[in-house]
Amino acid sequence: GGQLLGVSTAHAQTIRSIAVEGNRRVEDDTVRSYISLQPGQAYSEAGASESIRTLFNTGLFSDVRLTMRGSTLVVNVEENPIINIVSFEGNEKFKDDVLTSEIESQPRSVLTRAKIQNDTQRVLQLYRRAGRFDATVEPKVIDLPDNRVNVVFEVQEGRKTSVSRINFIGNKAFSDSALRDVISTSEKNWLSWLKTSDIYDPERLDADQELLRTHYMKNGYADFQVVSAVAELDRERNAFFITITVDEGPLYRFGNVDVEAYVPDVDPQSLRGEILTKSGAVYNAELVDKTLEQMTLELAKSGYAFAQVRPRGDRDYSAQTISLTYVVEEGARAYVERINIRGNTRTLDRVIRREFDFAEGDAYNVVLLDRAKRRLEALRYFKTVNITREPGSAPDRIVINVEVEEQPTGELSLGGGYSTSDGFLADVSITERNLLGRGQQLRVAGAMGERTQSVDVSFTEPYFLGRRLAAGIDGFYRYREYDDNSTYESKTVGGGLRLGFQLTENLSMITRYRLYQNEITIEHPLDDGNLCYPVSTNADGTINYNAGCTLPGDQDPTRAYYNPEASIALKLAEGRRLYSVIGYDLVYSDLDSMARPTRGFYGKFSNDIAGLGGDAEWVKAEIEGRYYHPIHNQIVGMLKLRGGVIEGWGDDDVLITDTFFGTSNLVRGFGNSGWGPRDLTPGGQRDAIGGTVYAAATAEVQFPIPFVPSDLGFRGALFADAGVLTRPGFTGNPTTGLPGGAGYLLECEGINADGSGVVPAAATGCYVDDASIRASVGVSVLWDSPFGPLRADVGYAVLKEDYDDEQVFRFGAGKQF
Amino acid sequence: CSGFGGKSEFANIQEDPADQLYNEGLALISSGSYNEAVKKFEEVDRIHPYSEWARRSLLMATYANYEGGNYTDAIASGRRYVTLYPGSEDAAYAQYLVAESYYQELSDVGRDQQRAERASAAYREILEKYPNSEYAVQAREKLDVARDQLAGKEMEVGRYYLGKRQYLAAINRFRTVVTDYQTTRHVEEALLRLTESYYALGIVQEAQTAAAVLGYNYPDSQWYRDAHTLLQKGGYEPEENKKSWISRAFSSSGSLL
Amino acid sequence: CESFTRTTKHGYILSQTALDQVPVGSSQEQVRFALGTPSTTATFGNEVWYYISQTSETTAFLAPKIVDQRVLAIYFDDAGIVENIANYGLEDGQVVDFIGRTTPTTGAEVTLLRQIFSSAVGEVVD
Repeated sequence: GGQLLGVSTAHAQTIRSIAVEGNRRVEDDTVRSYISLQPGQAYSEAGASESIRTLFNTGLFSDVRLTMRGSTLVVNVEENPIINIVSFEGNEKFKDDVLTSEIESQPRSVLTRAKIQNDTQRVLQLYRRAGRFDATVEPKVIDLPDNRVNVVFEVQEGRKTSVSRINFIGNKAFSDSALRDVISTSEKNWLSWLKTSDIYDPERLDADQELLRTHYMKNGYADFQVVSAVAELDRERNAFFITITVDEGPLYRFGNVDVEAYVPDVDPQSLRGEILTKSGAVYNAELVDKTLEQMTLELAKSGYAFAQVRPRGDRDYSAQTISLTYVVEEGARAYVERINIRGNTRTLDRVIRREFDFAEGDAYNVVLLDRAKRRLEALRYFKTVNITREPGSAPDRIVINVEVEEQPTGELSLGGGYSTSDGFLADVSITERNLLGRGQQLRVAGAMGERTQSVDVSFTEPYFLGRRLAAGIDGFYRYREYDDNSTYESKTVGGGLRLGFQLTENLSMITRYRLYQNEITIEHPLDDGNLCYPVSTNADGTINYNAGCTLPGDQDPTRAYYNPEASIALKLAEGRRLYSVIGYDLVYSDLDSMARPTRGFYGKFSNDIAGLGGDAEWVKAEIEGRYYHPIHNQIVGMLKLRGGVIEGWGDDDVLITDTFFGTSNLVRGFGNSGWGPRDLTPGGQRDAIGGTVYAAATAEVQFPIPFVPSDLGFRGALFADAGVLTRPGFTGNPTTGLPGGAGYLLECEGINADGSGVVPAAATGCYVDDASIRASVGVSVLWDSPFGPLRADVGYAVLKEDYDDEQVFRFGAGKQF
Repeated sequence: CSGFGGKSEFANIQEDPADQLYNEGLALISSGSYNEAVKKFEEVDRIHPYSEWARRSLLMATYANYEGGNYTDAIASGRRYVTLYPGSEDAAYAQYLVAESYYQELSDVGRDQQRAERASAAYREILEKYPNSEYAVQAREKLDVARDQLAGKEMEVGRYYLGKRQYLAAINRFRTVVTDYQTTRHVEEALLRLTESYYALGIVQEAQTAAAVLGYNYPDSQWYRDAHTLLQKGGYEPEENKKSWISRAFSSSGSLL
Repeated sequence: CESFTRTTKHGYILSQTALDQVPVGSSQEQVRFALGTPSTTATFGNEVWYYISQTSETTAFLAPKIVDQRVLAIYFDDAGIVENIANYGLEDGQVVDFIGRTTPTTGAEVTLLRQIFSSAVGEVVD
């Protein structure tokens, strides 16, 4: 509403005094203090209008009039009423306090017509956003004595209108359902109570159009346009029908790709290495942007801080190719004058400043600025990171203002889980990612389960010695009970130091030293102290006993002629041992996302040497390579190769508990340590005894499950695993063997009909180690449930040995298994 | 707005007289329950917006918020008092409470100094608007402390860049302290850091001048002794190059003290 | 792709051609036009302009090593005419181990307890 600007024409008379009329709450001299015309001055038009403006700015008055009465300046004001109580009627979806916090008019504040109109709009906007399009909001102002008012907003919420159908017209390259997965607005379905994306929100529909554009531009449709996006409301069925008409345009491929440089002594050919957009490949706008960034970074590195790279594409409509020239030009020579950091009430200034590759006084480069912003956001210390530029004290100076809004960085996460190998598991972990605002991380985690207990404490300083060097110290306690075949427990207590650094953008290395003590204890059900071993089995199957072995009276000789509690190899590993291990991991990853990769390669090589002191002396090397490739619209293929070897050195042998076991993780369809070399001593526990060399391969195809909307997070997968494990660790040697008796495993010379092994003459037991390939095929279901990632695998072993343990179903929930 | 008038269900709420509510507020303050007191004073302000009690209640609400430690509310109600009653004799006190609220929550120099900036602005407003009020003296002292914080922040960032041997960035930060914060305690260290930075860069002449000015103004400060020993190691003496900007910075504005 | 050593340029980007346009005797405006605003100058009197540039190399996690450091100092006489131009190189730099002591300041250090509370309640800054 317009305020009345009543300035009566008065000739330039000097003002003797100022009278204030019409004010109730605001005092006279308060009004006088805002008047720029003072007694003794001459009345002036400018002074009057300025005073009126300042008085209005205080927001206290609905009307101001300045008139001259004789030599007195009369200031006639009408105060805005004071709001006594604000209340809402008819609102269920949004409670009163939610609405009150949304509007400007508050009790004891001044009421203005503009505020009321804004508040009404804001409440309506809230209801529209919640899908109530036929909601109405009526503001009522009730007068009270003393120029006070009560404000009541009468609300009719109406019914929820959701989107019942989304249709696409003109899309040939991608199906309607594929495009529905691209946009965020979705159709009403049986899970609507769980989600809000099925509500018609014009802003979200605009954002969807941008999502469609980026999607098409990434897949070769450079001329893509959204012709129209129309939402019709069907009043009776209270639902929206959205129709999006698109014009895909032709599929373009890259023509020839070239670099031109207009910056003195920059050699264009040197930048060719950065080009990701290969000629002949399908046009991809995202790769063009990435190439620009890489080139600018490369130029900045070699001193051309002000060089800018701009793409110039020219389309060849007939050949449907776009030939691209990356043009390198001299940008404006500007330097950073100051980097102001604000909003960091908890994070230290240097923790933010160190993420900038440039210092104050350096050349201004927008690509380095974006990189700093991405790095700051990756810290997850801040809700928002807002970097703005201001001109500095000189034309070629720029001031950078970094405004951060902090968020709690402590995380208390409770997890539950079940896995067929470990049974039920509950875990709790407390992580503080920004300890005392110093950018350090502290994590304490504990887990309790049927067969495992563990406690882990780790502290990390990401900028050790002020460099990008992540130094960490860890402590751990792990208890694990194995009872697949023989029952034994492994308890590990220890600590370690680690140092991690980034070698290149994608290659990182972690060096570590670990000192821990491991104790293997085997349950001795018989605990008869009397260790008897068969010397050998004769051709006719009869067994020669160890001469010195005396059997207690009532023992059944056929059962007691071996040590039943566990494989001899396992008994050799019993006891407490100190391990002092130094090692490193080398990790290369250019995956497009860690959580759910669809493209890229991940490689890890780790190497450990035990023997700087301690009781174990071995060298272990393991390698893992995973390659992801999108096959077709959201179907992703994955190839995984893994391998490892462990060799003893010095005089200690590699105990089987330090070697690799045939886990269901390596080849599905088998139980944990379900495949690989196994102790087949007649009548023994048939324990798996692992191997010092393994290799495994997996081929998997992940796809969205048809008919199930993708935003529920379900995905399916078909997989084929194969693996081999061979050459077991220490299985005793003729002279030592077990305490109190000879114990020595040799490879069985064949397998008897009952599945037990034929023990060679010189040994007291035998194991089988046919390095045959185990393989399985199967199907899995993955679900990114609100409680964490779940995965169920059904694997059927196709290539197996009859002494292997199979396990068709495998299920892992909660933490990453 | 559309439709004045309408239901009058609010009219008949029984409302206590202003002075009774005000005194209840005062009692609550003396018994230390500040939040309750604030509620009482807000009642007065709401029911009797035109009374003298309303003005006093707004002031007491600011005081109660401040004593109760909820500084954000104290700042809000203090600011409203100063806008509504700029002329009243308590306006200085209200403005002072606003400044003190910022002052209480000064964060250390490693972090955002917005509160120090707002505190110094608020104290400066007291010195400008109410120069002869009884709070002017305290305001000046607290202003120096707030400015000292701001200088401390400049030094912190300067030392960060010096640690990373980014001498240019460091010099400019220490310069800001020497030129804009001459009256704070940090100027001595700033001069020493400038000596170190210029010396590391190899511009010995500037290093000598910085050390000389430090010695001239703070002859017995430990910072000067450090600067002196640093230069002597290289066989140099702190002697003032009249033309250097640092001596100019001090000579034109008279000596620091 | 990136080799293990990254070179980064800091401060002023010096170009020889621009330097040749400001011989002794040229005015401050000519210098400002040719070289741009100086990295740092005299606060009063404007009689010394410094253009400071530095190149450092960082290999993987090792500390950055300054491989080149140049200071171009342009001295003006009282009339603002270039009187002398000096060039300092890396070799002029001295090794300085900086004093550890700092001037004490006030303000509440963030303690662990305060962080837990504030992160739970969310710090509100006016």
